[in-house]
Amino acid sequence: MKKHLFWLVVAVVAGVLAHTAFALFVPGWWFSRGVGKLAEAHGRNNFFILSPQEQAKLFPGLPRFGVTGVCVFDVGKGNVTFAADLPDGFWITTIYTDKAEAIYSVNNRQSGANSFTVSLSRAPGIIEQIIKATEKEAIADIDSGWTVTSPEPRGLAVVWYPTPEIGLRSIAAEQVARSRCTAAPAPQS
Amino acid sequence: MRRFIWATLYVTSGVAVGCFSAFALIQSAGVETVTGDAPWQSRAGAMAGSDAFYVRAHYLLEGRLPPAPSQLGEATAETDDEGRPLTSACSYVITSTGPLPRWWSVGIVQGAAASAELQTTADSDTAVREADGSVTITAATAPQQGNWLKAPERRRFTLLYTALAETARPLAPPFSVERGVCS
Repeated sequence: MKKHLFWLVVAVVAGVLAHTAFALFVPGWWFSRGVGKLAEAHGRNNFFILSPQEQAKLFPGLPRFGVTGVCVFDVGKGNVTFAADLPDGFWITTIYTDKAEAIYSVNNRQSGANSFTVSLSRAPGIIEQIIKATEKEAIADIDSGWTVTSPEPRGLAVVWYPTPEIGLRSIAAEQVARSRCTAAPAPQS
Repeated sequence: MRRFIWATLYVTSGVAVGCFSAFALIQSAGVETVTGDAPWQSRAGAMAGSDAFYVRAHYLLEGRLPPAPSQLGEATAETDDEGRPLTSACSYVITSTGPLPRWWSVGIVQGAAASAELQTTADSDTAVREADGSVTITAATAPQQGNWLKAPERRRFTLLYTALAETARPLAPPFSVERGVCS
């Protein structure tokens, strides 16, 4: 009886560990496979327009003839600048981490401008925050646009621009594709 | 030898139950019915709550991104108004029951998962309206007069409603789903 009780406790512990590991790692790993394929096809830190098939996979609720542009960014090795240059009309720009957490979202009304710059950087870790807090005079970075810090090194900047008919998709796609996503040059040592 | 078999059995069972419970929680966490008598359900309300981790995991497992919070909202229906599963053996009449938002879209996805390949969508830009401003859409495998959503050949499908949202609260889709003719 005691032996069974011991192994029952082991089974419960194994179950809790398996539950935690599954929830923490499997969904992220599954999604990152799809993002990895996108990055392979179009490159990292590069803004591109999704094909209707790619869009249907990533955003199945959006009509196919709308335009969706994506930048798969990686701020693990340095900042990335997303310079949006969008046509007039309704649009939504959202920045997600690769864990599907939306960390920034703006539409044309909230932005007030169709051209804007978002500087993406990695959010400092706890140790980094403590070190920075102890520095006497930290000089703030000067930035002309908005700054978004991501808790994850990788993510996606997504622009969605709906068009009322399929004939307008290619015209709108050309205009949305003027946006740029560029990795900042590595800091000089 | 016998002890080894017991140990393996216990640990394997524990791991299997752990994985299954995680998967079940990811699929069910944060799901709430958004309209009293209609079949629409949404996870939007849980995106900012304690279930947010599991809700995001749900989207990740489906290989897609959640709608932009406070910008777009979505709801899904896997049954008609009577609670019967949506199948390709029947046609369905989707009728607007109230004022429609500035931008909305109703699409069909195959199977019970919203990640399956999108069939067709009807939206505020393309749907033909009735004289009183209401919208009627027919979901069926064969072409229909007026607004038609092509239902997939597979037996089960899901309706996916997406619309502009001003808040993070779950959207209440202003559409009823009535079963039409069945083959």
